[in-house]
Amino acid sequence: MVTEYVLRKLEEILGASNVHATPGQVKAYECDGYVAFKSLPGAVIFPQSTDEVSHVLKLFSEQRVPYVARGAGTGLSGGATPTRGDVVISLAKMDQLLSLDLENHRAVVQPGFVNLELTKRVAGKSFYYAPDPSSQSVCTIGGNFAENAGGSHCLKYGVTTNHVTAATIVLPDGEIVEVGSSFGDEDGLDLLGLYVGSEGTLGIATEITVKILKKPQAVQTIMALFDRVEDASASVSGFIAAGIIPAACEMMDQLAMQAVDKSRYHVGYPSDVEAVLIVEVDGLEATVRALSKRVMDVCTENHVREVRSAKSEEERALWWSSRKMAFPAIGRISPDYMVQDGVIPRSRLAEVLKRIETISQTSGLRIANVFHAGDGNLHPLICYDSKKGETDIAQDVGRQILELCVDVGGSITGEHGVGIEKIAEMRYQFSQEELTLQQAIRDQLDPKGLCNAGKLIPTPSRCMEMKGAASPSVSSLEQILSASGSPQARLAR
Amino acid sequence: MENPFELALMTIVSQEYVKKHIVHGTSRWVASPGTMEEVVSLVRLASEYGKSVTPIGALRRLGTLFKDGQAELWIETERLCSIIEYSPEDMVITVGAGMRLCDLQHELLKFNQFLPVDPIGDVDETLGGIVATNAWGPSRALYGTLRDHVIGTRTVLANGDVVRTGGRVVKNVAGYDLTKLLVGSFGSLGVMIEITLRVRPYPTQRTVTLLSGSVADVDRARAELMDATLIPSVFECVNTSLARTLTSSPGTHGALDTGSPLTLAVGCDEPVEGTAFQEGVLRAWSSSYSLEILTFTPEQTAVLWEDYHMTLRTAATVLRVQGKPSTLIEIAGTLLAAVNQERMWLSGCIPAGVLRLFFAADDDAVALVTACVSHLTACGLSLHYEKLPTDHHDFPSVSQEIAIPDSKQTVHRLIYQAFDPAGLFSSTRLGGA
Ligand SMILES: Cc1cc2nc3c(=O)[nH]c(=O)nc-3n(C[C@H](O)[C@H](O)[C@H](O)COP(=O)(O)OP(=O)(O)OC[C@H]3O[C@@H](n4cnc5c(N)ncnc54)[C@H](O)[C@@H]3O)c2cc1C
Ligand SMILES: Cc1cc2nc3c(=O)[nH]c(=O)nc-3n(C[C@H](O)[C@H](O)[C@H](O)COP(=O)(O)OP(=O)(O)OC[C@H]3O[C@@H](n4cnc5c(N)ncnc54)[C@H](O)[C@@H]3O)c2cc1C
Repeated sequence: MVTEYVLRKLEEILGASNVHATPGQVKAYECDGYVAFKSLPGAVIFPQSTDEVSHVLKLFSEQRVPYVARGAGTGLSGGATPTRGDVVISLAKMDQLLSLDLENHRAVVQPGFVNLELTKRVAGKSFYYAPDPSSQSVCTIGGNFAENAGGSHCLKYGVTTNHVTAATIVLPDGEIVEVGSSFGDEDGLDLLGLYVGSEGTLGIATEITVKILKKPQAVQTIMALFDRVEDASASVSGFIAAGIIPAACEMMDQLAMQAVDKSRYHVGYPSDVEAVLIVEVDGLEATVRALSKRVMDVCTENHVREVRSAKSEEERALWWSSRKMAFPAIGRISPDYMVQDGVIPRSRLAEVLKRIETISQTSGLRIANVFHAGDGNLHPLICYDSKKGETDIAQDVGRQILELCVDVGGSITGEHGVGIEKIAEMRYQFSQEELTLQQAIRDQLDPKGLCNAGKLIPTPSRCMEMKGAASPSVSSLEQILSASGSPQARLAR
Repeated sequence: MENPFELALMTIVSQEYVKKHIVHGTSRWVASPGTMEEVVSLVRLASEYGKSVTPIGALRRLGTLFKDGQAELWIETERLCSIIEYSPEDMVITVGAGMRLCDLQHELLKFNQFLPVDPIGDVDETLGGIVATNAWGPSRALYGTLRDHVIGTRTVLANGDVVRTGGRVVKNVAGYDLTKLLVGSFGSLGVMIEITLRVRPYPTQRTVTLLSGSVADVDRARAELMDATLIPSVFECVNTSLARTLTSSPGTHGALDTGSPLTLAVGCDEPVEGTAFQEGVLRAWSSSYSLEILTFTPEQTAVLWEDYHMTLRTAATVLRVQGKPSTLIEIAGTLLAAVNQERMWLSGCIPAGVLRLFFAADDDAVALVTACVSHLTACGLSLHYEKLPTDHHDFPSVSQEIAIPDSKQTVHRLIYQAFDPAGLFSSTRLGGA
């Protein structure tokens, strides 16, 4: 519960129009892209500057009000979901590009600035912002910062943490601190490195400096269709063995291909191929042709049925849309589904996919696979029907898959974060000592436990009851991605 | 005579692996554990006896601190130097923190892979040491720093707990990224005993092109290169005295008029066709901007970098300057015009926005460093020493304390509270060191 006093103070700081507290106003903020747990926020507020955020956090600290930051709400692990009547601090109105320095390859954005917008703003000068989560048309750079978001091109270019150079953070006590260094290295401990990926539990990022890169001179996109998943997996290892680091290397299995082919992004995949690889190579014009030939040769050595490179920009765009819209498309073949995000050593791909198939058969639930094959980041999509009471089975399947990832030396999450969703699995990946250290850092930086509490690190008492309280709604992801990136549209959600 | 702490040390590691030094009348011990368990026992023992601890590798960086440092127990990682797991197919390797960088590169080359870092230091420096200092060299321009390559560690904390940070897969966002905190922490958070790195395929060839000219012309080439779609694996600006050593080997000697104040070294790790293209573009710029150009074959390039490292590693003082890439050439130009640059080397990774000044250990060093510091401070730049000689009290202060504002100091303190509340590793703490 947010007290009248707190609401009045918030209105003083932010203006009444930026403080929403009626059930009708706050309902849209009861969850993010992870819809299995919902809970109403105590209020939703819209600060517009670092100073406002600082004043708000000072107030919250003094009045012990729990809160959670929110970007576009596309998170898939419940990171932006309130759990105890928290106040949602929406950064939707802090959506400006603050400065652009093309000569020095830097941009400074407010956290609510949408990922793809940045590339759009600099594309005219042949620059782009490299991290490209599939949700990039709506997700914010603040949300990317907090989740250390990845994307299809992170195999070669790295994830968000490799592209952020500095940030302004408002600490849980309201103090403002600059971390990182726009150029060169941070003095002292790498606080920026700690903050990126901390899932909004250590403070709120209000300004973010990122690198923008020059677009590669040439790009070739290759599609390879395989009769057998094993051959597709072997090709992925084959690229690396041949000394090639593709810009992107994505895989979809049969079920996923069927699903996207039912959507707007119809490629026309043959119904009997087991796997498709979308591989992109980029670099200097003079080298890309030879590189793409080598990629195709590796596929051929691994019994590819058909392999070709995109003939036009439209074809390339279609292939990418087909890949990027694959999650939401699963909604077309299953009433409900759950997205997982485990990571495995690339060399174990074929073996792990086989075991996932066994898990699927044993459980009776279909599992589609759409993923970043190049860096071993799996996204098994577990199809189920909550109305048939399959939610618990689906959750158990998800747990089995994540444990499998850890068992082969991997991780429970490669880019979606722990949030609420994977909090129990943290115990499977980390020892008690490791969790204790993480908690100690959190206790130091947020001693009152107000900042996105109850997420990320399991504590004995909390969290478990949050899982599986409700069932995911099918179309929500499609809605998220089809919404326009305008602030109004985001505010409306 | 028998010191109880020393006796206890020898119950953990055998006598031959414990060395005692008397520094300014007090005893300091260097212990070389051979296993993780021994590291844990040493840390616990030190904690029990209230002795401060510093982890060390080859002591290249800490050579100076050792004399006046406060740590009573130095845990040397030299014997923790095995390959723990190497999966070339995954381009991931886990090694003991005491492994020497050169040994690691040697192992990786067997599978045609490498760790793309080339820190300036001695050949025997350890991975633990270079990771703890986030040390880097010219290949930073394309490949980044160790911050981008280290994906996990196994670390012994002050309370003796052994924790794994990060993991052994290239993508991993589970929990806080504690690996980032350890990289560049100068041994102040714990003893890293294992380090996991992502590595890369070794380039089919590595070459370099030098472009020399006036400050203004080199700056034009800098602007072109920043705005081009070329792929420079090195983008380094060096001064005359350094350029001279780079062109001193047979075949390149005398080929460049090293009278030019500045030289850009532009590397290329692309296959042959790419290299030819890139060199063509550089050649075109060299004629538009009247720059002298000298291209190196892969063999000559290897020699050039060897010379580069051999020269710079003799430096006793290293000063770092950070700023916008677009300003660095001019900064370098005005600095070099203002001081006697014969006695120093300048090398800067332009796209990263860092210049480093390397000073030889000689009688004029203090005066020269002082002149550089006052010139650069007057330009409003923040400076840091990366290296100082043992006897450094005459050097001008570039005070880190001033550079790190209070709010950030507070966050530092909170993190140290979480890692090491009793201050076991305090002697090498950042900022205070
Ligand atoms: C269809 C679909 C595809 C996706 N594909 C990918 C993908 O390819 N790669 C990938 O990495 N992710 C992907 N995601 C997940 C999601 O888009 C990312 O996690 C994204 O970074 C979240 O951004 P957001 O603005 O929506 O943040 P939100 O969901 O609003 O918030 C995410 C977390 O960040 C915190 N946060 C937000 N802003 C701030 C701030 N300013 N300061 C501190 N904390 C903050 C929140 O508290 C929350 O914990 C996908 C999601 C969908 C729906
Ligand atoms: C002439 C010269 C010039 C140099 N110039 C530069 C420069 O310009 N920039 C730069 O970045 N570096 C520079 N260095 C430093 C050098 O590149 C490395 O920092 C150093 O060599 C690291 O290797 P080492 O094994 O000798 O480490 P040591 O000197 O033994 O230790 C270096 C630091 O790392 C810590 N450390 C070592 N091992 C561990 C471990 N296992 N766990 C935790 N902490 C550990 C130590 O406590 C210490 O703080 C220079 C070195 C020399 C000799």
